[in-house]
Amino acid sequence: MGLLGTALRRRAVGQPPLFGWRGLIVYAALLVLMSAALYMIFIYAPAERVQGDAHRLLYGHVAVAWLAFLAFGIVAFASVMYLWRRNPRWDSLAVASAEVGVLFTTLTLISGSVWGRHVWGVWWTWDPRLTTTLVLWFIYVAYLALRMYIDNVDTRRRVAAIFGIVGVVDVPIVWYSVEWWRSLHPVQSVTRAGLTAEMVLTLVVTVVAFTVFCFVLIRQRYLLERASDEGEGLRDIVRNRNDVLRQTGAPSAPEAGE
Amino acid sequence: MTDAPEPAGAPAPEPLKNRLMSGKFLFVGGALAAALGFLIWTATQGAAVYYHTVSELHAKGDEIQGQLVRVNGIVVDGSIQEESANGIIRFEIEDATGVLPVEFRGSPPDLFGYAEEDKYSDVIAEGRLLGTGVFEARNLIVKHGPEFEPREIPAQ
Amino acid sequence: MTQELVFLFIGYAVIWVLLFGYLVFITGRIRGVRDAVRDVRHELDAQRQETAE
Repeated sequence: MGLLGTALRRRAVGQPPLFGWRGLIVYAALLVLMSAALYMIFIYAPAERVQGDAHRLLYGHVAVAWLAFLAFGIVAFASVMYLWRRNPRWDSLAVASAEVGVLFTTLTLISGSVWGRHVWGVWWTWDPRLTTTLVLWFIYVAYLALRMYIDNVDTRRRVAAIFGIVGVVDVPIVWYSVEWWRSLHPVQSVTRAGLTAEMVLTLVVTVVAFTVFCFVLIRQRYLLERASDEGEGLRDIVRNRNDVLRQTGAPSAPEAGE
Repeated sequence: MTDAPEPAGAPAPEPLKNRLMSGKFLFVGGALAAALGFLIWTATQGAAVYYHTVSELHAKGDEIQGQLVRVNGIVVDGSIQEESANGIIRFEIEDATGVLPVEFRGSPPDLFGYAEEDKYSDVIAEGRLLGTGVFEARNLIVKHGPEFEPREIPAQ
Repeated sequence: MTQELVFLFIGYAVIWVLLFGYLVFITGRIRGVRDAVRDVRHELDAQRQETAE
């Protein structure tokens, strides 16, 4: 692994998983923001003229959809940086964001489905917005599956980076799908939406709260990936060493699992 | 992740490993190509739109009869008639130039109705155009724009 | 409870449960992986000392 590997290992092991002072502040802020969002969504925001209370799904649905886009944007950025710099930390950031992005896309599909069942009358329909979002979900599930299929660590990172960059093409397609094609899903439009100040404020607080949550998740998943990478590197060292020891007849060390 | 990656500086992998790797690449490459192909297919199928308008349906005439299609229109004022005996709802939908009678068996979406009654009158019907000119809907989907307004008076 | 409230609560319950569940799961796995890595490292260091002697 060399000098760089040693430095990375120090960093990965030296940091506890978001505990201590900084962690406490982040988690406290998250708790306050989430509580505020919860209060505003369910009590502060007014009921909507036609949809009544069901319209409150708007805030969470818009927030998780936005974070799915952001996460996949980070995947693409980290993938470009990995191909440029070849630093495994960028690759770890890409995996972490991809997994969190899949989670948020799943939440977008589920919250949209529940909302759609009430307002549209169907759980699912092959509308362009829904279809392209499902394709987005499949692209990044395939990205994660692809990583498991490639054993060679450098090949895995390189191929995944290319996939991560190509896959992000679907994000603008999802965004513009409601303008390019006839769809059931309404267009996203703040100006036409006619939201009151209370509604806008609720949306802003919810989006901020979920964004902080998203960053915490990406960070935790990143630290996990760094630790796993370290375990993988250590396992190679142990294996090489055991091969040498076996020849000399000395007892061998246990091999690191995951 | 049960297999260890090749240690750095290890000799070149044996041919068997190479063959397996290329097989995996083929599989994964195929999956990628399929995903992208599906993406492009959905992006370019301009002919197969998500729904037709009432006028478009009329313009297609007989050729579209019996096919499963979606048609979008606004519910004509006062046209909804519910036959509670057999659970059939009849109504008409219209766009700028055409009117289409629709027949639907089942319970409509909660928010289906007239705009003046604070419901959504923009509707997509999924079903078939019959020879009689009536559209037999198997599914009713309520459509609405991005407008959200607060209730004037809190509903109690 | 009206139907719209049921859908509303289902929607948000799914969001909260999955988000918090994922956070707890990932944080737990970090500990597990780090403990395993630390154990192997200690074992390795002990062996190195033995073979050095």
